[in-house]
Amino acid sequence: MSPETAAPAAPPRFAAAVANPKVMQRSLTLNEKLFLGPFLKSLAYTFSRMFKKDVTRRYPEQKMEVTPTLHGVPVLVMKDDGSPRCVACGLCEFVCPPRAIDITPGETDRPIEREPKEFVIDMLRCIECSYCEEVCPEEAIVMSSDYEVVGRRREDFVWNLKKLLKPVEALKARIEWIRKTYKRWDGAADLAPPEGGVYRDPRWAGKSKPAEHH
Amino acid sequence: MSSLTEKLVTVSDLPPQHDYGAGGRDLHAEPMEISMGPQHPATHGVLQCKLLLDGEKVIKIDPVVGYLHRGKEKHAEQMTYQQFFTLTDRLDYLQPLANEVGWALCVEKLAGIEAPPRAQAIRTILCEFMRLSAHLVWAGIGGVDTGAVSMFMYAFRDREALFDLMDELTGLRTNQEYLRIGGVGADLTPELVAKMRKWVADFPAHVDEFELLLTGNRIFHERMRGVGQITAQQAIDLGVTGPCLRATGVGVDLRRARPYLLYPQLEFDVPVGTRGDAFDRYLVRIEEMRQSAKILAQLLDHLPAGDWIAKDFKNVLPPKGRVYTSMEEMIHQFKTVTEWCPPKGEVYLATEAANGELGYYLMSAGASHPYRVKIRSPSFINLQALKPMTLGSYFSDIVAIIASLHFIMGECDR
Repeated sequence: MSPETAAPAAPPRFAAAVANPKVMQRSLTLNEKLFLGPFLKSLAYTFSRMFKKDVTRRYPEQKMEVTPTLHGVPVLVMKDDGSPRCVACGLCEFVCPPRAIDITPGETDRPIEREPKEFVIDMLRCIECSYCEEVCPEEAIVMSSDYEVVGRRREDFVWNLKKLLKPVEALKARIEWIRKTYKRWDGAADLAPPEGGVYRDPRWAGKSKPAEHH
Repeated sequence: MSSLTEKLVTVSDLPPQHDYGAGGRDLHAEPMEISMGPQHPATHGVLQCKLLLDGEKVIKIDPVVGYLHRGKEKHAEQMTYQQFFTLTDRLDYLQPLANEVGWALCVEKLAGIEAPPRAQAIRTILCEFMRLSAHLVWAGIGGVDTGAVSMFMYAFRDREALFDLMDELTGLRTNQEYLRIGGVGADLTPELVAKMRKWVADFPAHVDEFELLLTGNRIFHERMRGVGQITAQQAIDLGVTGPCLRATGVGVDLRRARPYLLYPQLEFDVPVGTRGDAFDRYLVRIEEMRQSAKILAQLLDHLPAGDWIAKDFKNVLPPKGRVYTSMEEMIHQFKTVTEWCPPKGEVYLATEAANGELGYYLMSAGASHPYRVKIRSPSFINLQALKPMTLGSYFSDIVAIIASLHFIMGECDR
């Protein structure tokens, strides 16, 4: 059989079987065996680091630079009249992976009709994942820049509505970041739903959705 | 007794060539039983090793796992797909984002979603940064375990700088809940790309510094060389993956063997060892650090433009501005958060994490939470190699072997 008509060689079981560089061990040189030379060399290296710029921060005096992306503890946004933006829809309570949020909804005479009577976040459970902020349909719960939560008792870490409410000015940078980041394709022309006014889900083409959903 | 129950090995059972330098005399008739861990600084977390020693030689070792068991697989059955990301972070806590990437790819494969190119590039970047993060801890702690305490400082210097980058990208230093189904949580800004590029450009020189401190050091050499040797066949039989397998000369890397993300387009080498001892595992990881820096440099220079999350409103959250004002998007927001699910089916997807093949087996019954999740954790399976590596070696070699295996108990016990 000529090489052209020969059956192609079976492909290697793993594509990685081609040409892996070997890391070769080498014996120690005489200098290294005598130990003192490399020892002094690494000592010299260590000493030379003393005159380089510090890489550590003297923490309580020298604080970390706070950027809008930083996830501090989640807080509630307060309107100018002192009421929360929150409408107690409970989506953050649902999405919270460690179940740190506990909302007691109530009615109100304000136009929003519904507000949290009590809103409790257990900061000992909170993992600062920002899922609550991402799902909030009212921009009512945002991650603050407060990353130092201290207390003497466990109760100090269970923040209620009064403690959670923060004025908009204090959270401005983060709210701007949310608007910029979660805007995504807002305003794009092709954002409108396709014909019929419904989004088509290709996954369910020709299939009925599982019964659990209806 | 069942055949599974292992017979206790005593000195008299050992073949006569086990002389232990006693010159034929039976100096240690009674083997000594020692429990190492679970709170031992050298066992990397909460691993307990039940040892049977004859003098300084190990004649039996039983690793006891499960001290850090948190039931993540069972927890997954009560969490939504997005919520489970927060638990995958805490598997191998040295490389949280790489675990998230594995889960995201697994769910997306079942749901038939593809992340846009920019999101895939960001994910590849994160995978490599996390490999470096894990290898840096290994270099630092491995140095401490073998007596080179200053290594810890240099490795953690780089790791802290790396975490500053992750902090700026995700908002959290570790356990970043950054990945979303269909993409990532936020965009990679040009300023951050510039900072990452600087870190990556500096890094190979730092790896040379690690080598200056360790490779030619006689103490390190003698602690690691010829210690914990296993053959390629043994490693394959035990299911060892990752750098520990490659150190035995088997060049299997899932980034090449079953490519995912942007790895097929990238140029990098998969270093393999020759002997399969602790020193080879060290050399392979050092070389992998250089290769990761090479991959990162390629990715950061050719970062695709475009969306960082799929434009697929059945699967990802709709734009926020619309949620505030439009009923349609508001409903989608609620539906996606509470009821999103992939179709019925099952899928297994493995990625190459820093320690080896990190696989997720996911079974969906079409509900908003998984029906079953199984995590194939490389640390757990690599830990099996502890026994063949350790038997017959000295007691103090166990520390070097554990350091070179580098299993993470958070991932091992799940």
